[in-house]
Amino acid sequence: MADEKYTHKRIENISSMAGGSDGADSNLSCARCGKPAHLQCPKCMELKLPREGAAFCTQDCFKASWSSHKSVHVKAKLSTLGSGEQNSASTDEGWLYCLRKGQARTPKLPHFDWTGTLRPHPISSMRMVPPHIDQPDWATDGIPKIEPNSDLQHVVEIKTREQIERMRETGRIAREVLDAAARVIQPGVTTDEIDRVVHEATIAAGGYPSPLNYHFFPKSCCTSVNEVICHGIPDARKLEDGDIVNVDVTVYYKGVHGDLNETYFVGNVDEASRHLVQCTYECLEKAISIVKPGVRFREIGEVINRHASMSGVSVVKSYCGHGIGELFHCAPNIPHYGRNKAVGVMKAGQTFTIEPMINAGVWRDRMWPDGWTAVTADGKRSAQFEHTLLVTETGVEVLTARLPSSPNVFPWLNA
Amino acid sequence: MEDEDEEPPLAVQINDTGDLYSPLSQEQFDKPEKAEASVGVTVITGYLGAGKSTLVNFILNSHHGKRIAVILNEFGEEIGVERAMINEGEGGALVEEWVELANGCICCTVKHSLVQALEQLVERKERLDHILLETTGLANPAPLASVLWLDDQLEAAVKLDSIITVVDAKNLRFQLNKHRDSSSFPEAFLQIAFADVVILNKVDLVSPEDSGSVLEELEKEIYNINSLANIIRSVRCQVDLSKILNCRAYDATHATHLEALLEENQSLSTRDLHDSGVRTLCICEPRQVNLDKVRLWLEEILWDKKFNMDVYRCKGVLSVLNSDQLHTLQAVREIYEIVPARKWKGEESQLNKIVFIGKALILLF
Repeated sequence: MADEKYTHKRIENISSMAGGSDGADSNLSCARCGKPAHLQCPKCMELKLPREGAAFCTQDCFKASWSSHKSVHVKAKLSTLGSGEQNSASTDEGWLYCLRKGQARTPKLPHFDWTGTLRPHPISSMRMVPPHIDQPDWATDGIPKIEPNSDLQHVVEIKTREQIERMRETGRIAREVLDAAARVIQPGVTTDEIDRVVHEATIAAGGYPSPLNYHFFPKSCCTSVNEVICHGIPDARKLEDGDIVNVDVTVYYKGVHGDLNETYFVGNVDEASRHLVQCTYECLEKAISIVKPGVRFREIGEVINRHASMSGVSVVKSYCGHGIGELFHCAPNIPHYGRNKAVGVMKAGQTFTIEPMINAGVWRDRMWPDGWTAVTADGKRSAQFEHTLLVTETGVEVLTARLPSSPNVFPWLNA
Repeated sequence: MEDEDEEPPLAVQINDTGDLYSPLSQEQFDKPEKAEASVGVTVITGYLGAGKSTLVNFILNSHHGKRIAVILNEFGEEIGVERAMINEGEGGALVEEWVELANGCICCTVKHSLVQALEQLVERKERLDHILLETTGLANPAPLASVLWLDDQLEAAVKLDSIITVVDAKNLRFQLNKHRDSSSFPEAFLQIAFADVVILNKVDLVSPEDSGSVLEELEKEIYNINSLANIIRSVRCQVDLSKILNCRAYDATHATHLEALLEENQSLSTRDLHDSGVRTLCICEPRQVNLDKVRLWLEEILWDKKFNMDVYRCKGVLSVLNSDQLHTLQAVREIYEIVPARKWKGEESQLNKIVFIGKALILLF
């Protein structure tokens, strides 16, 4: 286990150590200042990129060059990962474990004190999106630029009639994509396969799967199995009879996003899981029922918390509902737990998601080494449901609502 | 909002055939949850040269036996890493460390990446008693306060303890007057307005003959802007640590401190409207109040900016209808909370007292 504490002094020691060099490196110059270089960027090493241009004389020169240097990694990753080949057969060729939020891969299962029985599996190479499809700004390099700097992170937008129309359309497409994914769920199917279905259905509809490359997320949807709370990465694991799995889809179409998710049963699940999933569904349902102009955003958390407590389950506190529209995530922030300090009241024309994550055991979450997958701290199961909502003059419109054609997979919906 | 940059990893010696991942980037072995009290975070603001670094060094180097980490907010969020100094070396020697800001999707997470980074720091250390966040060139501490003032429900490993601003007794008058000559709002007002503690430093540099009245004038000036702050005079920032650490200024249940504060503000409303327009306004109401109505009233002021009032801070004690609990009120910009803190004692006079600090404040009920 590497010593996590380090100081500037240690770097100097390393660089002044006589290395067992083979002599070739004495020709390398610091990419920034030109002095003789004996230090190398570890990411370049990992990606097996050439040393020329990736060597530095000191940590300081390296740090100073960092913001321009790192684009080399992104370019390299895009060209190696976006090979275009779809690994539909579950051969292990080219499939690796995800690390660093999607910016790295490793052939070995990472170290972690896993909280439950689930383990990450290798993931397939990055899927491509045809050029005719309108893409958000993170599609090329993994980094959203408009979103973090927008005023919409501080002010809740009132959508115009035209924007609302687009959101209705996109919300409906997102619903249809999710339904397509729901239809393929059964024991033996991998979450990677679900991702392929989501990816292809989205593109067939002319949309871009928003999660793809969002802050380097490697896939087109999130698949969260059993103790995974959210942001699970589709991989080579086959769903098993008795699992529960959440599929979270966001589609970007005509310049706006539509976001929804549902938790499904794989084969026959036990009573505790059925209870958890149904209770989660009800939490969302009850939250939506209070949405109308004048209601405080804070209140959503109270409603969810009340129902969860009464049902003997707990509410995840680290992730929240969010504003949505031309941005994937923006104001307002909507916590799902009670006694929160969320600011503001609902107004007609606002669009946001509510997406409670409910745990069978404790509320606390932990993060897997991949930097995305959130799991319950006690390894017990977690379920989630999400809709994109529009506040209307008198109440609410669910933009991602079930359609008559939506698969009949929730027993409690049958009268 | 920040950019999603990762920190530069530790560059490795060429021909180093060891682990591919630098120590900094290696995922931490998670430790089991420590059910300990959360670590207080103090935000330190102040003009360049007022003495922030002096204060930080004084706190770090005093032999108080406390293990303290200082985060030097130098890089902002561009590089994705902050430099930290901790007095955990031999005999309290300072050890430097990097704190990595979590990348990526902060948009649907409740905790800002800075909070996550501080929590990871606390988790990594065997023992950390306090964290100082030294801001450089930050005019307005409100965004930082909002990020750090977490809901109790989150049971976070860190909590906002107080905002301290260091002002320079020699230059303060000049800094406060600056706005007369320029169109910009001087940082000094904001820093004072948001402070829980104001350290009036370099008092020794004020000319000794009239230092008494000069200092009193300065304190009055500060008081007019923010009557809730505790003003401490100092030379080279040598202050009594018990007054600046563990203030619990944002602890809803720490009612005694709040009550004492409001006691001093009894009938106060700074009638002398400060030139900046920033002032303190106090409201007293003996009758019990309807909590729902108070919320609506407060929200009109804080969220709707009624009459264009710009509230920076608000603190209060409420006597609520149909409740035997004293409620505390606390607000930083639009974020506010009203929480039952303790039972009213039999002999107490149950009064409502609310103090506002802000611009363009007018009395309204």
